[in-house]
Amino acid sequence: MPQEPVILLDSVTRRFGQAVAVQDVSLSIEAGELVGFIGPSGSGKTTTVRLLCGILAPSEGTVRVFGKDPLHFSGRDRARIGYLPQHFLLYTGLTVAANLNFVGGVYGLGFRERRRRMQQVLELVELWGDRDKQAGELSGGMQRRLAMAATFLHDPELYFLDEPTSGQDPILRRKIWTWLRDLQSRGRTLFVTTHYVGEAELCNRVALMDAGHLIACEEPQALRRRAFGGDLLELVTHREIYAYLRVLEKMRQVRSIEVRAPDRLVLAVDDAGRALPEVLNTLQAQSLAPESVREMPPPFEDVFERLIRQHQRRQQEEAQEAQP
Amino acid sequence: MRGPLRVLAFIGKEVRAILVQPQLLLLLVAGPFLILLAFGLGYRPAGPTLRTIIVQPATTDPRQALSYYLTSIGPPLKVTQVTPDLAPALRKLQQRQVDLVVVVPADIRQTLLNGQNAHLVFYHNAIDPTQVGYISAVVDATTSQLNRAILQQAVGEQQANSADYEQALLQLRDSLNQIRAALQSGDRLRAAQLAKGVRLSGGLMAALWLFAADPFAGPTAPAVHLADDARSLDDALSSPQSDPQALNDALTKAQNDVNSMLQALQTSRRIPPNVFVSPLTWDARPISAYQPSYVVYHSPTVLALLVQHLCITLAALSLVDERTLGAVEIFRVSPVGPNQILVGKFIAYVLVVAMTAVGLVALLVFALKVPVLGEWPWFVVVLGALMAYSLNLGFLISAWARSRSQAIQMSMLALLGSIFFSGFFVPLTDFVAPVRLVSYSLPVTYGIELLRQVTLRGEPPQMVYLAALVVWAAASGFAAVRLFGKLFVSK
Repeated sequence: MPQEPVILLDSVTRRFGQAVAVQDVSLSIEAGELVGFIGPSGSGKTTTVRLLCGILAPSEGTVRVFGKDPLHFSGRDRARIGYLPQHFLLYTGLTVAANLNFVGGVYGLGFRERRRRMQQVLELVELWGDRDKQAGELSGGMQRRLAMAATFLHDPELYFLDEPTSGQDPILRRKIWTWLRDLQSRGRTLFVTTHYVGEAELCNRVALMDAGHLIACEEPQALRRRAFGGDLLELVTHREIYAYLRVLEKMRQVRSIEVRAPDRLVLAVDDAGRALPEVLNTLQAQSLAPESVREMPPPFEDVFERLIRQHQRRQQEEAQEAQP
Repeated sequence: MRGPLRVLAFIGKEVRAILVQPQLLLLLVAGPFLILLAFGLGYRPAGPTLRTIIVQPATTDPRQALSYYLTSIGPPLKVTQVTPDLAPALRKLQQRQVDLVVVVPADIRQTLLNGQNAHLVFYHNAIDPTQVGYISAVVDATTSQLNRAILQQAVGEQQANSADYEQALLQLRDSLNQIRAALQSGDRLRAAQLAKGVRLSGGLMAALWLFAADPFAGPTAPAVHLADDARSLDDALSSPQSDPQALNDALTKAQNDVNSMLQALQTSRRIPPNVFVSPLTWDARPISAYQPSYVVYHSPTVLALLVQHLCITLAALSLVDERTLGAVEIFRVSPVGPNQILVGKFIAYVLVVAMTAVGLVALLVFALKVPVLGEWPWFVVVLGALMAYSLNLGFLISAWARSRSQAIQMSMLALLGSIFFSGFFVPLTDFVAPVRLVSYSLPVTYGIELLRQVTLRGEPPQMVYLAALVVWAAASGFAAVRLFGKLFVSK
């Protein structure tokens, strides 16, 4: 019997008055996945998280978390969830330890277990030595770590982390992703929003949002292929490129060619591993010796930009077709 | 088991949040303590002294001057100047250098003799209705005192003058004795001559009697009979056929009248003039065992007001703070419910306010000597009910308010409403019925009445009031839970 997905969104739309924040989003996430929810500001990421947490009700469609409607969660269901909001929401007047003690109490942890978990998570986020400091005295990065510790404290099965790395320095961002990968390795399910597209690579799957639409939700590599029509090969030459273009255009494996510079071509191929030796052999057969040919993983900025542009173009075409 | 842990989490959080703020703690504990102490040591309900200028004609005989009486009356009037010039006195009044200017009319005696009232004018420069009322009461009391003083002097003078009247009565008694002697010696002619004089004198004495002697004797006084009896004696002696027995009776009656008048005159001369002027005195006797001073009487009121204010302020800000901080969003995703949050906060604030209340009650009992004549358990019950309603009202404000400033404004309105409508300054009976509803929606109205009953009267609290307080506490708590719970409903 197939296991029920931990998160299921089926044709979910959420409106605020006339404005549509999330439109017709469908998504399924299995237990143990680390899913990155990526998109520009205002694309509907936080609204989706709030729908999944049961803070907002969908205008249309169905939301299921652990197979239940989050609007009707029991206390026990809520205790299975860890939620990190976008902004620091702990009490600046209380110490680090007092804040965690409070959160532990809210989640019903006994005093002994609370102390044990508090030490664990504070050591993890490297705040154990600062446990007697007031939260208001901590730096922004430390406050973020404290908030994460509060989210980790009751060891939930499912995490909703809204922009956990927002505004953090690169070192802390890397640490945070290490913690998240660690949680995933222990079987936890994580739903992480971010606007740092480079972080997409660290997820199992990436869901891309734009203007309330879910454009794609796939593994990072699959997204690249989808954006560029396959894998990319970068070819650098010291001769003029037209001879190369004439040869490459005829190759079956090459789906498209983009001239990036007078001496630089980018080829889209189905499978870079198989296409690379074939390209080299074909060029050599034509007495063409490029300076270099290598697989080029495109930066995710380019992947998302391309996917968003494609989506927008498709929407425009659909809109034009819909006009009488 | 997890439910109590969640409630405990809020209790711990709220108490810690207060304990880690020494200034707040100081304000919560020492603030009300100092207010109560300042009230106890500084409240002196006696009206203020009125600095007074007397304006009277320069020609007034100093011994007859009204200023003499006004000066001798003493507080609250403090005569600073006696002058014949009204304008400079009014200027000083305008500049608030004095509080009262009394203008004495020119010739009081002549005005009275003309059958008219002599009119005093008291100028003041107050606009505060309470002060105006106070000045009116002082003016009324002063005028009454002046009237009494004038009458007292007049009565004293009259008593001194009554010696002449007594002399005249003694002469009348001699004349009657001579008539009896003349009749016994058979000299009826001399008796008749003397009777004419007695008739004349008797009528005159009777007419003057009202001014000379006993004002309390009424219409049956001997003076009324003397005129008739003297006339009957004269008529009997003038008639040759008069019955000797009737003649003797008339003579005896006239002699008795004169003797009675002499006796009454002597009695009335022994009555001090102030008894004549103020025949009735009064003495209010409370049946309650304990009569508190002003400070003691108002101390439970101040305690109730402080407890209410503390509770409302703490509770009114708490939920607003959670909401504006965004913590409510976290709570909504967590297993904690609105009821557990409110119960946790409620218990935390009860602990904090109870700690403050213990300090305040110790101050009342040991420093201000306010007795708790009733039973301590009732005192605790009343204070607990007052705290419960005040906290729930604060939570209701907090659940309703959209911002911290709104919550603060509403708390202040509750405080202002309590000062005006709780019976603190103005008795509840002075308000029309619809406004009294406001009074009876305030926790402190019940708190004041119930605490006074328990502390100062030594009675158990009036059950209707206590029940009303409990019902209000339950209703406001229910409303607060419902309103706060709406924040947990997904939209």
